[in-house]
Amino acid sequence: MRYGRSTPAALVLAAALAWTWTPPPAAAWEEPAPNAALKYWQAFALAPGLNEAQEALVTEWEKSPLDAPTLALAASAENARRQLLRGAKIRACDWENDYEDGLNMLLPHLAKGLSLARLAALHGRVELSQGRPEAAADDVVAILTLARHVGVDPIAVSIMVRHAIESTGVDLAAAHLPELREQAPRILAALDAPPPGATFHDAYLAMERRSIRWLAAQLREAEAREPGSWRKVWKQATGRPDGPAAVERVESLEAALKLTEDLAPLCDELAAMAELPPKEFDARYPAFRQQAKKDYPLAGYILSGPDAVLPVERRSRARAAMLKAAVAVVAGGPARLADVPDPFGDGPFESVPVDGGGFELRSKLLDRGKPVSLTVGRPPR
Amino acid sequence: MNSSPDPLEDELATFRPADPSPEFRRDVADRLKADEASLRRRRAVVAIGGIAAAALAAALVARISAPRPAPDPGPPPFVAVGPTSPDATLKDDSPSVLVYGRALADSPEVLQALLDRHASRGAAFGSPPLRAFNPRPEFREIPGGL
Repeated sequence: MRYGRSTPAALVLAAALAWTWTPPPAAAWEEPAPNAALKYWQAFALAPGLNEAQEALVTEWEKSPLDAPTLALAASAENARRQLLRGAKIRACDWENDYEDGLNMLLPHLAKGLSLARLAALHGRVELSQGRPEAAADDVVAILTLARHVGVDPIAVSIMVRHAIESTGVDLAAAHLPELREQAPRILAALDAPPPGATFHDAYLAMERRSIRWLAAQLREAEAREPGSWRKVWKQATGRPDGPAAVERVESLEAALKLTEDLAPLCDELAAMAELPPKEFDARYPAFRQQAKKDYPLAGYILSGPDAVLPVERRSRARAAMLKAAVAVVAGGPARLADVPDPFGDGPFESVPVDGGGFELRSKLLDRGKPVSLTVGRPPR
Repeated sequence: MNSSPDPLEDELATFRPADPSPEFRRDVADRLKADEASLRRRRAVVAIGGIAAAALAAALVARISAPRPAPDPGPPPFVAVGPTSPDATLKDDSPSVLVYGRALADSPEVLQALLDRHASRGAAFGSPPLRAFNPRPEFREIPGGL
């Protein structure tokens, strides 16, 4: 093969071009996967700062007068509400919790979510007062969806807040059900929409177990770093004025670790207890609790008591069923009450007329000796 | 000057250049042709070399003056999740699993009050406790912990 005299120059040119050519970036920007939590965080950031009077309006959202200050507050919350509604339209919700922080994991979205839900409930009342039930139903649906999203993590406190937020949405919908009658189907759909959210059973098997492993690891790491410093970690985890002697008087790392790691199988038992039918749970739990307090003195420091969390879950379940029954009654009359049975009874809910219009549904489920109830069609005065 | 005719001069005056031979003509034509081709090649080489040099210079300028992408910062420095900071966690009411769990162990209402305080944090004033879980005071009687 022969090359002409111009070949070296051509090679130089080709080399120069090759040297300067850079491939286009493979993916300059990819649209991130939708995440409701990011929309909610925007809503938190855009929510108006509240002074004392405004905080009272939000806190007492059911009873706050719909006067000029309330209307102004509702108007100032529009940007936050827009993001809330956008978040509620996204199925996936990842709060990006730092699970590796164990018991020190921060959950700043819980309180903010609760506050935002109340603000939205107040906004819903304003919409209803101005003859816009569709917009008010948007608020209800967003509140119910936010509740489920907040409760997506298997953390007992998150689940508690989920039920608190859901209770806000149920109260708003029930109190104004006659006005929201046409919107009821989508409100009920939001109540049952997937994902269902974590349960306390999930929490015992996930976060509570994880907290045990985390505390054991912290104790060991502290000791490895500086002999004796496990005591500081132990004090932090168990610092309570009236703690049992078995916990207060732990004298060695080994004893602390044993008390901690012994809790792991208890989590499995608690998870199983949380799944029991209410009557069976109520029958078995007192003896179980007594034995657990004796065998696992550290349990009260680290693990959530099912007698504190399960009533909240049951109450929420009963009230959700009551809202469905109320929708049936408002649509088709009292005869439709039987359409939705009481999940904690053998028949329909009890319906009692209330002064000033509306009615109250009562469940067989007792909450400190009184039936769990839902007032329908009578906005609080 | 001599005015008489000189035969030599007369003979010289009659001289004419002889026509070149066909071989000579071919030889000269070949050489001229070769020189012309060589000149064209030289010009082409110079031109291509010039273009290459110009391209190289332009590429150099472009590469030097182009904005460079930010250097890859690499993975973030590893920060160990610290040993718990006992004082920080015990003395404040940060929204942590531990702090909320302790409040829940007292009662759902204590947890609720703490959540309310966190919700109003940053506002000018505190918030009165709310009762989202159960507004009735008897609910306080529910034991919170195991």
